[in-house]
Amino acid sequence: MAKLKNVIVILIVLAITGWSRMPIEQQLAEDLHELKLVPPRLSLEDRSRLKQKAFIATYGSLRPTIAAFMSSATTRPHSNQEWDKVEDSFEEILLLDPYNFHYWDMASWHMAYNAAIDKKSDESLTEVARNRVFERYIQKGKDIIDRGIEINPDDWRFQNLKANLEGNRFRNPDYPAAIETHKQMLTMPDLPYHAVRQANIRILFNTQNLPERHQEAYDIALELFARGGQYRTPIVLNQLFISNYHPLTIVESPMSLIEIYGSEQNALKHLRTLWRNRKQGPKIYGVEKMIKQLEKNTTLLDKKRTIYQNTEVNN
Amino acid sequence: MSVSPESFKKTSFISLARIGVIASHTFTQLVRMKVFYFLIAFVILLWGAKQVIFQNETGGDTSPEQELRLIKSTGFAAMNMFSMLLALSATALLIPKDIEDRTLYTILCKPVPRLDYLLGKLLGVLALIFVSLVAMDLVLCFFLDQKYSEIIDIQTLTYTRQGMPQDMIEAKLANINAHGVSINIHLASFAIFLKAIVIASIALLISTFSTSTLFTLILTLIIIVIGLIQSDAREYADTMAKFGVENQLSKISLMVAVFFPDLQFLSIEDGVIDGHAVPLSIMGRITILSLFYLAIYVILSWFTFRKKEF
Repeated sequence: MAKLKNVIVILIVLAITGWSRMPIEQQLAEDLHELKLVPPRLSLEDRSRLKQKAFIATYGSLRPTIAAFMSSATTRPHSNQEWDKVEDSFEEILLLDPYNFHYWDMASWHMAYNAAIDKKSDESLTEVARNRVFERYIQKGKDIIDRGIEINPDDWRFQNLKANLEGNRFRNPDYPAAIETHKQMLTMPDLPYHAVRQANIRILFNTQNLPERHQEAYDIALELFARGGQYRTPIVLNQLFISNYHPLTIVESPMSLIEIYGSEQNALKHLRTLWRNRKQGPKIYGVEKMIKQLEKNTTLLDKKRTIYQNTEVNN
Repeated sequence: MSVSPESFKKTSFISLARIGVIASHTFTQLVRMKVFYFLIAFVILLWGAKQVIFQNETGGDTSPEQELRLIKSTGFAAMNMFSMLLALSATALLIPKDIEDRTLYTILCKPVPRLDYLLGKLLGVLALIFVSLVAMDLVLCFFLDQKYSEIIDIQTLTYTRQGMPQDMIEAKLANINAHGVSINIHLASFAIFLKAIVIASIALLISTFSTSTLFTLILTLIIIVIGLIQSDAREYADTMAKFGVENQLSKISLMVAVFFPDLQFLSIEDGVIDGHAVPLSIMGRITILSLFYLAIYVILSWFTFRKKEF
């Protein structure tokens, strides 16, 4: 009887105190999730996917260790090109350690780069099937990054990763989407200086690849050039030069070669590189003529044969 | 034979001196069980974690902070495990061992209130866990700092050789810096101690009415497991209540949320592993809530233990 009385009293006290602490705990849990001090909640589907690891994921601390070793273990399926296994492993790794950018980067890289290119060269498939699978894996890579953004909306690296994949010329590029993603990234607070600079230069690069937006490309290049210092990269300088010769671009006050590149030697160096890579990018105006002109000045030439001559021979 | 009036002086309900004596005795008793040997295992574990070097597979941006995360993760996991085992086993063994050694009868026949006895025993266990965690925290910081210095030296050299602009190098080193030794490591260790406090007080409550040590251990473990998913149950019950839905699952979830402790909010070491800072206001709220649990379970333990016959 005394035992029963004890049990009843214990249950009553636990119920009263439990009821009173519930809203406090709920608020604390929300604050902890907002500060990312505790892992995100797992859905029932995620729990069943993780099986026994779900308990570890709940218990905490061990999650990153298990994720790290699982990530190392993907080396074997990666080497054997077993992409389904790689994908499954990373699905679990991302559930275990969802705030770790490294795994999102790795997972999307495996899908959109390794798996996609492997399938593209899979001779057991027909041409149509190869392309379809190639596109599917790129999309998988993009979907992974989108999920990463959902969980880590304040981390600019995810937006950067997404934009770089969207603007990758070897991965079915979607330049307008890449520009938008980078612009969205630039609206994020507390971006490091190098991220701002890189995003702006990538916006110019992606705009260059859209021939109909030639005027916008010039305007961006002019604005970045005006910022000076580390913004004066070859992409910016070359765009300013090309715009001078573009038949449709309105250039109000064209800059001279020296104003753009600083010296003829520098101009020759950058224009040669641009010419060498001309097949990968948009049409370049005035470059061939300028290289020929600059190469006439033998003091600018090094001991090697000129790049222009090289490419001509190759062609 | 005359009896002095002092002998009839009423024993105070609670005495810090008495609690201190029992606590120090319990602490010594547990230390004699050679529990600190686990520190050797802890050092070996962290030394092993420090040797791990992750290769940069992507060929792009390196993530040297992964190695620091691994040391923190391994360290905190081991601290969690050791402190939980100590809290669970030492507390579950307290009363049965005193009964077996007949120490309990010697103590309780003296004017020692049972609350003092329980508090003394619990504080002895907690002191042992605290000392262990302080030692583990120092070992963790030592290995973390060693690895951090190695990584900073290597990465500074690598980034400079790659010709990275200074601002980029600084931003990258700042990322690594977030994973080095900081006050957050100590706060996470303290949160693990708070978790151990809650677990030990649960084990104490169960041991006051349990008939065997095994039963105490199993029941406490079940409560720990439920405690780790309690927040999910509370979340579900809360969401259902907001939508005005009442079903079997929402009722069970509500019961779980009311009767079981939430141990998830004490797992802030996960955030520290990810390099997030722990605000002191959050730490304060966590501490208050843990002490609230401690108070409730100790009062209930005393309630069941106060008239228990041996």
